[in-house]
Amino acid sequence: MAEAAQSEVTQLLRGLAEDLSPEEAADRILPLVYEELRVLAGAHLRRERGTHTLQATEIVHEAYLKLAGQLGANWTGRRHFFGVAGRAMRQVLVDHARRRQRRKRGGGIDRVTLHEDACQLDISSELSPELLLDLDQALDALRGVDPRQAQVVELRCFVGLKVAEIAETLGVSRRTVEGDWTHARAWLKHRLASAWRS
Amino acid sequence: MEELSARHRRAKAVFLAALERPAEERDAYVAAECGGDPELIAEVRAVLAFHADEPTPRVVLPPLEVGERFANRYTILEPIGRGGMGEVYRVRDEVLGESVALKRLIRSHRAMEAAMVREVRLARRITHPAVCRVHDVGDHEGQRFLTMEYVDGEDLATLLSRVGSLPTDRVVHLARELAVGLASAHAQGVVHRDLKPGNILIDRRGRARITDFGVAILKDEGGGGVQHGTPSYMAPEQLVPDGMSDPRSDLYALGLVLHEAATGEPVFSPSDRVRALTVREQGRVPTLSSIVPGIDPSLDRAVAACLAFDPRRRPESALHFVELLPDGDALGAAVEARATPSPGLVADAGAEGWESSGTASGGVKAVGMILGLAGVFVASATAGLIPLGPSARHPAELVESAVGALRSLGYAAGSGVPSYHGFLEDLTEDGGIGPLFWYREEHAPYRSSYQQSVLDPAADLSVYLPATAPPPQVLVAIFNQAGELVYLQGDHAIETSRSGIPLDPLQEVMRLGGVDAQELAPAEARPPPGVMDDVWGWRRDRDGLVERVEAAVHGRRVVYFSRGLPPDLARERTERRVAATSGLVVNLVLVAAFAIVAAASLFTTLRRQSTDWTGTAKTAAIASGLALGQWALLVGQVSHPLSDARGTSAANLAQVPFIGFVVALFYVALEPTVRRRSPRTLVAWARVLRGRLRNEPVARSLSVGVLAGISCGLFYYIDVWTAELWAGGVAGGIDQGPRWLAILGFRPTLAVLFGNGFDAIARALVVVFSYSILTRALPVRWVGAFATVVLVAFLESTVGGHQAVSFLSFGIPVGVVSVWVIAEVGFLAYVIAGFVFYSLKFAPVSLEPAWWGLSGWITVFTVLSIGLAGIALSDRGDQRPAR
Repeated sequence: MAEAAQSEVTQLLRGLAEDLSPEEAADRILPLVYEELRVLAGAHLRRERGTHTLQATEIVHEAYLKLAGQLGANWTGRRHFFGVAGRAMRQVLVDHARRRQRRKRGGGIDRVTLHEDACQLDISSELSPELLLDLDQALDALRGVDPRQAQVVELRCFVGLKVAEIAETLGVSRRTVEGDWTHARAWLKHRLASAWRS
Repeated sequence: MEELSARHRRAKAVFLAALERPAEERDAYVAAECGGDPELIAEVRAVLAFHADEPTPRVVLPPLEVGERFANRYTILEPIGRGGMGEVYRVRDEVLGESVALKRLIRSHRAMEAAMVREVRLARRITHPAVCRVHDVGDHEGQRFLTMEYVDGEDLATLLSRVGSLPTDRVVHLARELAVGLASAHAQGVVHRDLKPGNILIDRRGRARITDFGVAILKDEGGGGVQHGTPSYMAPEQLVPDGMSDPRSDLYALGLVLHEAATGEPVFSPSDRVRALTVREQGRVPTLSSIVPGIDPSLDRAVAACLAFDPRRRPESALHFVELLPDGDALGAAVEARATPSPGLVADAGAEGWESSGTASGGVKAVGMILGLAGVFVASATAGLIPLGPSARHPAELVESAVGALRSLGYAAGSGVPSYHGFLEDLTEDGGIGPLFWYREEHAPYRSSYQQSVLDPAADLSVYLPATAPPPQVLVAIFNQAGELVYLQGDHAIETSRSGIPLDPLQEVMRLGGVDAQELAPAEARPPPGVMDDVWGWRRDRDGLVERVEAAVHGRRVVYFSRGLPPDLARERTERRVAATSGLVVNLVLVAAFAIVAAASLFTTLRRQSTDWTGTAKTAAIASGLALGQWALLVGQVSHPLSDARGTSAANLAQVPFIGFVVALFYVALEPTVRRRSPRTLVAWARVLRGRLRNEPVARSLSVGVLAGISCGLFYYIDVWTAELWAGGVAGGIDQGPRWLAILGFRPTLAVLFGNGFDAIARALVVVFSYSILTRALPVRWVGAFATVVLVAFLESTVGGHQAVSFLSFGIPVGVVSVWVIAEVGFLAYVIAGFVFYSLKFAPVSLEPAWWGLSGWITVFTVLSIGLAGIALSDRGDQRPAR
């Protein structure tokens, strides 16, 4: 990744707080965070040749740490970053899974590790690309009817944030986050059960 | 979308509030809170069912190793795929020694296990090459697995990712295969609900198979509740909450699959769900031709039809979809899928094969008909089936002399109600068989309480065995060809004629009977029961011929006179005639067998709900209309001169609805089976019932039916003629009633034609049904066809009433023509052929310029009109409605 792009992220994250609505901000920085995560994921796979496992939370946090220095631990910057990180990370994993599906054997990843909270969705925290794609589809469906709730799930499973952190990131109460998560858990399980028939 | 979001938030709120309450109160709470919104209740309850306060640890089974023995029976050969809940292997079944695919659950999940059982149960209903066969479901150490046919190849999704898109001809081929596969599933009441490229396997020979009935349902269940399937391949009605699925939802998915196969790109990608819904809603799926220029326009239209937002605007069934494809042949597809095409589809379909078949041109057909009819004339005249010389008197004259004779015996003949006059073939006084002229007149109102007693089964075959008590106040007189009285039945209660009672009644009746009293020797008399003063009996021996003469008087009027063979001889002759029709036993066996099969067919038909009620009503209306016409033409006539059925007009009228009912019953029981097994035979009939006459199938049915009927008529007359040469003239038999009716004039001839009409319909239903059953039930098609030939031969030759020889010389040729007509043209043609055949058989066609010639000419004119109408209707183009 080019240095220029990286500094652009930083600039964006710093400057966003004042004049952009959260949606606009997300639109602007999502591609940048996605790019950052994609590059990091690639680097991970290269570094640990042979394992073919992508650890989602590790990559996100690495990305955050990388940017954090430049952000100066700015609260708004952090909020914006995590606001899109979940979705971006999901996209990165899905891309890898798809690539692997296309190639079938060899290449790509064969395991994805999510935060252990993902176990509450009736999936193990370590999951196959096929399973990940099912989850991705279910989350898309959820996003279609309730974007915030989908984001709660993403932050929890793909980024590994705690309830309090999610509440802070999304600017809602902890109680709301807990409600969203409890409902999403059952909702997704219900949905995955119908998608998972092999 | 807004609405869906609002619903979701509502469902979430109710869900969370319900969780605050004890588990046992939640159901009731949800119902109360959602206030009469069943979809919302269903959704919240479904999600609640998946809520667990503590996450349960999930054990995922590790993959099986290649070479490992599973469940003590299956050796793992290679993994095929692994998904979230299960995995699939190619295994060798060590018991059967063949490769099968084995799918097992890798995590324990009660609902999934139940679903697997259900999958096997539903998939097993379907046996079709385009549907992946599922063998069995099993349990091994708590792991549920199922085995199914192993397909050596790849799924369509993989194929498409490898080759991009498929060429048009392959898409068309794929479309037909998949549609036939779906049709066979739908015919078993199974809706797949998850048709997508990943669930379509293509084997090495390029044949497609539908697999994975994991979320399939029965048609009547409709689905709803929990959403199933793969969103990007689901029909709009399945995407809405509590969406319902029916066979047309599968057609939507089929459209998406074919669209993707032709363009190489999925119409909806999994991630843009929002776009997918709106595009579906606005019906904006781009047409194939806009993406793949030059694609077959029929394919383009067929796929677009599947993708209609409103299920009612999609093709009505998978078979209707096939009909839209280039060279679709929906009826062929129906037979392959063992699906019953709807009557409408039968009428619309079947364009294939009609135009292309190289049948003779109209001119050749017309010449064939005229030559054939000429042949019938010649053969009929030669066979001499009308043994009335050219000098035979007209029935009106015969009636007049009958009335004169009765008056001279003291009866006020002519003042009663004439209820019968005509010829019947019977034993003549010299032991031969010939036409006798009957006259009957009623002198009392009908009394329904009067019952005749049948003493002798052969009684109604011979007037010389008067075994039944005569109806009261009825006058019956029979004359032979020479105009002599051979039988008389009177009643003392009948008014006296103006000329008065003769002085010597016996002498008068002897004069009328042409009997010389000098030649008579007294003998025992056995008159029928009745009131009589005096009874006499005589024998007359003349040139070795024994004749019996009997008479009885009451109040000086002759109430009974009979002249003919002695009873024992008459009985013997009669029994010989009955024996000549010994095929009756065979007929009874056939009827019993047929009744059983027909009842089974009726049961199946009603269970499948494939009855064509409109067609039934119309066919029954046609048959009862013909019966009504026949009744109107014969009103006032009794069916047999000796019967007690006076006032029969009303009784006969009751037969009209009865005939309609019987035909309707036959139609309900038999037609759907024919439609399922050989739908092509019903194309022309279905069109006629819909009033579509100007098209090739109907035209051909008429012309070919007439030609076939004429051939059968020719066979009949040639057979009668040759049978006379070697069998001594028993030809003609007992089945000549209609002929003797027809010669009486215009109205009786029409009555016979009308009767032939409904006979032909009923006969055609039975024979075409038998053909459908036999050709499909027997392993080799021609064996079934031959069995039908034999059946028809039995039906026709036993009714013909002569020896077994005619079974071969007449029955078999007629059977061959019948089966050919059914197989090549169909039901309507067979109805026409039957009508023409019976009409020619019963028509007294003759070259002699006798008074009865009219009747033959009416028949010939009718037959030719139908045939020429067929020729004229041809080549006018198909009337198939434009789509």
